[in-house]
Amino acid sequence: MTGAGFRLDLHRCVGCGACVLACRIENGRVESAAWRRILPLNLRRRAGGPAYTFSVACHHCENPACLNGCPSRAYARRPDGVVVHDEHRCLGCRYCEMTCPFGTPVFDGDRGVVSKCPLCAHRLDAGLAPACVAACPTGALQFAEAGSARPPGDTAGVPGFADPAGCRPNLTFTPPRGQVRSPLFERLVERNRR
Amino acid sequence: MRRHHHDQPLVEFTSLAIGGAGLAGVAAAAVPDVTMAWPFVATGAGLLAAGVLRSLGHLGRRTRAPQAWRGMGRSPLTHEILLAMLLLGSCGLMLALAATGRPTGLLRAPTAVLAAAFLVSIGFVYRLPGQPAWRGAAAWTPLTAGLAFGAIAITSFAATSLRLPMALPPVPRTIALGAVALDTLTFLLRCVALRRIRLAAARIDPPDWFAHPIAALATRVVLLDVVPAASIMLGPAPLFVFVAALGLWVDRSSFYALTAPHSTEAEIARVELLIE
Amino acid sequence: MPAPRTIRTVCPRNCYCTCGMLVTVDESGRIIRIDGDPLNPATDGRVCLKGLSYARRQTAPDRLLTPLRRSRSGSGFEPVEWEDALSDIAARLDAVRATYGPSSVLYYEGSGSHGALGGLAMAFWHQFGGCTTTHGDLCWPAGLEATRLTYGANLHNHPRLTRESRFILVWGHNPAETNIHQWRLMLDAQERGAVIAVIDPRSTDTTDAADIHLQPRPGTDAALALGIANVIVEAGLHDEAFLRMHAQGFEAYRARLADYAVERAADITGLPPEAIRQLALAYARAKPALLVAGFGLQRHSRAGQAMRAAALLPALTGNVGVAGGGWQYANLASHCLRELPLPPAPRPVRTFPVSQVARHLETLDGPPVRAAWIERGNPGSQNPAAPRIRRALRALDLVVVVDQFMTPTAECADYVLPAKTLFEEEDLVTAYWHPYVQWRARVFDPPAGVKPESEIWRLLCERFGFDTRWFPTDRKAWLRDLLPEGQAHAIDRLPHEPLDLSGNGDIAFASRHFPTASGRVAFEAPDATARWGAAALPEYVPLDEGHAAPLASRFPLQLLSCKTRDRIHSQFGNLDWVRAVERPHVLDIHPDDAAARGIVDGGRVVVWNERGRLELAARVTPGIRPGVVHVLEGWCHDGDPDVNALVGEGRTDMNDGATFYECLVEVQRR
Repeated sequence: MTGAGFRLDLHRCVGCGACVLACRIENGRVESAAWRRILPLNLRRRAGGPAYTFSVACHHCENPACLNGCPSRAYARRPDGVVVHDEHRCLGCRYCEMTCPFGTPVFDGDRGVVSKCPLCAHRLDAGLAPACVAACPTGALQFAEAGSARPPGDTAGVPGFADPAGCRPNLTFTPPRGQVRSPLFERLVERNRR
Repeated sequence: MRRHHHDQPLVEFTSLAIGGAGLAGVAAAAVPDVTMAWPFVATGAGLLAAGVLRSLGHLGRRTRAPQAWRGMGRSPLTHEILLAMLLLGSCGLMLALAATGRPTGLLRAPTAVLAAAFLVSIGFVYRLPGQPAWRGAAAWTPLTAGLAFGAIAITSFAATSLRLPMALPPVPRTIALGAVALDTLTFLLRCVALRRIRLAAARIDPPDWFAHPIAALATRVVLLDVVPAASIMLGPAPLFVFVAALGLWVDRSSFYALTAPHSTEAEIARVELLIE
Repeated sequence: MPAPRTIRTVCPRNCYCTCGMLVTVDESGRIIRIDGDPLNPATDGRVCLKGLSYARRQTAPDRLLTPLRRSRSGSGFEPVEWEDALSDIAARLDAVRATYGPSSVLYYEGSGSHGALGGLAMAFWHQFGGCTTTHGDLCWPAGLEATRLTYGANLHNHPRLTRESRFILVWGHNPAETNIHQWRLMLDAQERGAVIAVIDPRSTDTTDAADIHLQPRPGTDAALALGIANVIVEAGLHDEAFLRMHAQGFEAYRARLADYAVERAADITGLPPEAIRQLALAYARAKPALLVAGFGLQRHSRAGQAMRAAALLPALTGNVGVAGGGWQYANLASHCLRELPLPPAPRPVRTFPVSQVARHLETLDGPPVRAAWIERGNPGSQNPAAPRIRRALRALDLVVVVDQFMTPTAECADYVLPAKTLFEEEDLVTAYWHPYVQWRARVFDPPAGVKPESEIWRLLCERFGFDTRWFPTDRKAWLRDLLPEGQAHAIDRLPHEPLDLSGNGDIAFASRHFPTASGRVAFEAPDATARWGAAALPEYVPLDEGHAAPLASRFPLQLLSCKTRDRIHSQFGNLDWVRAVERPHVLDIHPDDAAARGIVDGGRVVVWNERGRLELAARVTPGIRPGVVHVLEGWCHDGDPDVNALVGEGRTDMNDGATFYECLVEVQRR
């Protein structure tokens, strides 16, 4: 992982949504679409709840599709890897909504521009963790600094999260653990490989 | 018909732009007589200009549209817009020259080339790495559809203005049929590719006719290729331009409607079915 | 331009965590940040999604901001002035009192908001001549009494010591949803090699992450606990030294264990005997081992005995008074505030069990209930037989409901008075997991049309010409006087940090002094017989409405209605922020039970018994025990399943709790 990004511990994440609400508060998004989403992976015939749950916002990719396609160069990548969007340059053409393979940018109809998670750049610059990370009650969501080493056992790809467009997202996962989740996860990985 | 609200201006823009650019380009390249060519170039440019204006309706911030040049060298969307502007400029110059009685010969090639380049650039805007439904032959159908439409439009109206009895002279007929055949072939390749792709549930609510792949694609081929080809062979008439235009609109509508899912939600949905 | 200000406060909800909070407000009075208070060592600098949603709840579009009176036409409400509302309410209360006497007015307070000032209502009712109110509790009283009988007090180790456990047995509890800070501590322990075992008929987020999961029949936990004890004693793994010095009645208890051979326990619980044996041995061998029991374990008519049986396991294995060990149910260390000064009651206030509001509204006499005042609660949704409660309320002469939002209970009212939020009045808030007393700050003035309950009571007293000296003019001084003897100075520190005023250490019963009658852990408790008519030794008694009851031949499915992290009971469920991430309205049903009834995943079903019915979508999941079905509780909006229509007005065997999880139903395809 070269740029700044997120780490998600799939064993600790319960999909509660605290991260989503913290992001709303931090960025004043009361009624607009949230920048962060909770996406459970529900296997049909499986016991209990989701096999695991993703909390995703923006992955601040090494090779961002949004930035590459933007006709007005409204996106920029900071030296620390954070991909920021300048709303004052945005035409509201929504091309980035199409090019991003993850579904990250949201269109704010009331303002006619697109917006997305800026990794709380304003908080990072003040030495604080992003709002979502600070709010996570179980410690599942972590911030990974630019250049930080990936913890052993963490993986960049898990079933349910793929990089079909070569964007190289800065998001890694700690796989789920335990006697219920481990075997299930391994089966999923194996099926997904085929 | 209710659709994804933000797609509708794009359907209209691309229909007008493909038809207009195709018409202007084919006219510039293949209609030697300037008195016959300039109405087609003018109409084509007019359609393209209307399309560009309509595309502004898609923007959240219309007044910022001029900033679209900034992505030059990087953004396919910038390139498409620049090519549209250059094509309009070239058509405008041609028409100005024609109006003042000056020769238009030097602008013929640039106009034709710009038209082709613009049509290709439309395809490439949508040639996204993660969207298989818009790659391959689908990236080339704006070019082939534009050329076919241009050929159909010119032959249909030219036959009338020349008061040709029923059939066209062989050379224009062959060229026109060739353009339509090329489009048919390219489009069929797209259909074959689509069969292998798992399409998303219709992005339109309620799902309408454009989201039913076979119906939509068959209609497109019939309206833009089969019927006009028959008319070219048997007796072109202005009516068939409108048939082809309708076919072009069906082509564009189904282009936006028939897509593979392209998001993390979609990837999760795919994985959820792996273990039953 | 004045800078944003950050104020330290606390969430006063009915929740284990009672999180310390830091609220940041900008110049215009808008909440721009909600953080956890890093000075609360249990909640450790975080809140939860509900705490964060206060930023939306404070200014929610459907927040009530003015008194409402039922309109003349009978349907809907119209806004009125406080003056008019209180005058009319006072007049009508007076009339009811004149005709029927003061006990004809029901004063009902729920657990919707904790804080010392809540007790001020009695300053009015005592001067009114009394009233009728409820005793007992919907949630936890059987377990409290069982713990008190066994250990003498409801105290447990400091939450942070959870990390020290090597084995955490979670029983009838779902901390991943209902105590998320405890869950983080448990995950930390698991990361360090601890084993998490969970006993729950359902699969939950907690069981999904656990190492061991047992799914017994609901209501059979006493047999399971005694069966586990039987295995432990037979294997010689009980702590003889501890028992010799600190147990009372162990020999009688040991003799009783002979009735609970693991095969019998397996038969009653529906578990494989080997699974019970393995759990028992694993729990007994790990040191230290922690047993965390939730309220779910005691929501039935044999709750007290079941809780006693479970509570004795830590004592049996010597896991008491050690870091990382213990019996954890509720920690009342912070409940050290003094009694409120109140005017004397002219006679004892009449009370009835809180699990039986419907039948008492319907049939109480001498005098009957003719009026009701309901605050900080939503009995019209949340109590057993909720639809009957709504019907009965609508038949009363006067109903006043104080609430932030229009709930189904408020819909039955003649007057709905808008309630303050947690940010709009100072108070002191105690907890029941960590030992901290926390200051709830006045971050905002209430909106113009809103008055705190303490102010409403004072105004009503004025209307009646009652003495208002019981009401604080200076809340801080008034609250200071509630602090324990010698701790008055803490009132100045509390706004700046949570304080443990108990004087207890981190480890409960470290001194091995148990405040029971005998000074020892009571394996045999004659008090249980004296007070509740229950056997002195814990025992398994089948539930009146359990899997083996005669009624089960007609209604073979046991219904559980558990809690979700999305709400605190029926609070927060109206907020759009929460609804966007909440769990769905479904009936969880096992594939075998579904197949037998032709029910498919996602299909509509009717759940019914003799008390009521509800309709919703089914989720077919092998995660739930066959024979058990589940609907989340706490919904109360349009189209939400009214699950308490199915729940009966039973009482726990001890201490007047409710029997929400003792409910037989049938389910059929719609």
